[in-house]
Amino acid sequence: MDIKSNLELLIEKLRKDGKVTPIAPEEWDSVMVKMEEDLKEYQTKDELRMKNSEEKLFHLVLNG
Amino acid sequence: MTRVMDAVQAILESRYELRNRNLSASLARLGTYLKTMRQDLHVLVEHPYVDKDYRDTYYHYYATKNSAYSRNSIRLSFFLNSVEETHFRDPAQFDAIQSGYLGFLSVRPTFPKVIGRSVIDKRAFSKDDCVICPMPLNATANGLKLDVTGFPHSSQDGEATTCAETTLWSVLQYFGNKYAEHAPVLPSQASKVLTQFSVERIVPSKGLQAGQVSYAFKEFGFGVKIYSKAEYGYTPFFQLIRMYVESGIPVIGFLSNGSIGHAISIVGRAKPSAADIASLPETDYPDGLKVSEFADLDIEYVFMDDNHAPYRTGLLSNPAKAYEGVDDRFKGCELIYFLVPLHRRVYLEAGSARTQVISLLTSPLKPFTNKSILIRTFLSSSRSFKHAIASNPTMDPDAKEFLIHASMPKFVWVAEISDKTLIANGEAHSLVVLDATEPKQPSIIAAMFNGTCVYRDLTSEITIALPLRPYSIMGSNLQ
Repeated sequence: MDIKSNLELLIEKLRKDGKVTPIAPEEWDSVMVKMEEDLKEYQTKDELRMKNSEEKLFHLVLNG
Repeated sequence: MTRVMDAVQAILESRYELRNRNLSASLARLGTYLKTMRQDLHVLVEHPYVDKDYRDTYYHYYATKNSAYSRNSIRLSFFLNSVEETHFRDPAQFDAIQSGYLGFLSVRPTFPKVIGRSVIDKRAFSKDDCVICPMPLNATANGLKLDVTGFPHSSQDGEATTCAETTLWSVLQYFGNKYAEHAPVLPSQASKVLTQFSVERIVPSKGLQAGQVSYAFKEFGFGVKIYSKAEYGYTPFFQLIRMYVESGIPVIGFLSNGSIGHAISIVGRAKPSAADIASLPETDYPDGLKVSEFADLDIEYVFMDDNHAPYRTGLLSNPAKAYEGVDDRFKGCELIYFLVPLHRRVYLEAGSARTQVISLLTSPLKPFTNKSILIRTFLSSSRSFKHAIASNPTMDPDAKEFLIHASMPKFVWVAEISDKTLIANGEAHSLVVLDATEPKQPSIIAAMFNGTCVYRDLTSEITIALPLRPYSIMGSNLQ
């Protein structure tokens, strides 16, 4: 028996209606490559920020 | 409120035998607190009242001292409408009592620092034009169980607790009362955890180090993330605070002016005006894309500060404004760090989520060219998100079905994309949903813009013609 999820059934219906278009793999790859690069750049900076601030946290006494 | 003060004074004098300086100082603190509230409220005063948090501190600290301290507190319950004592025994009046109930304040016998635990609806305060992280609580008044929604607050007693312990307690109360997977934490339980991470005694308190607060949240099951203004820079630091608060997550702000350190929680924001939205800055990206971000709104935020009454508002850039002319020790205090107690299964933090959204919008897909957009980014549980989608009155039915049936983790980052005109009506035209459990690589679950949904099917990437139509933005994270 072919059991399909609600999402698969919906996409199948949308395919029949001609509403689904594949994205060319190279187009998707170019999106992913850009996102990966941007994310890596942000997170590399983020790790450094944390390293720089971690020790200072233990010098801040909250007694107000 | 004058009659309330008279009633409390009578109790303090007759049952606590309070006199002179301690009496006037205690009443002054209570009076200052009550002045921030609406003056037309009706108040039920009860004594003796067993406040579980004060009792806990009493048995673990005050009862071990030579001086006599009372175990009992006074409870003030606030109502919008006039309530007679007989109403509490008349079932026909119960609905009316509930509809007017605005919460309670416990007056603690730690003179003169008497402001104890409270959960009060923001409508009880004179300035209530804001939205907050809401915590529902079942309380009682004169024996009747009543529901209230507010944010837990208490002032420090300066002896067993300071600002750090009080802020820790308040945020743990919020999560403990709101979510089944957390439990409300008593002050002694927090002390016990903190003791493990301290080379000195915790009580009497001389304050906590910021790192100890972080450690305590970790021990209570949170995935803590800390941000430093010096490292992130002024604008990104405040953007990140705003994104978390927009997600309904209270953040703990650490303030300092170099000589004093202070902890507060940031639990909500003012409602932005049309002028606030119109003045949002735009950042230019290639292909004529201009992006404004909701997280850049320089509006007032809601602070829970244990030295002040609840729901004090102010700009993130000047969180100690309320101390001006009152306490010079706080002069020039700025937010220098904030800590966000995330669910332990949220691996993607706010900055990375924002980076991905901007990256996608400026990717070769070029979803928007020569267009001005406004992005509101927040974290949501997928349950809340799907509930909001299911109950959305204006969203396209196929788009709704698609989002409701799409596989999602427990938490998702959502970027609602709108513009300055649409957002004024509470609407957006596009949507990006990111997997909050995927920290190291692009984590798009679905991206819906210009009538097209970009989706990674089981085997391939596809676009689906799914017009979102302008849809009502989610609003349930803050109330």
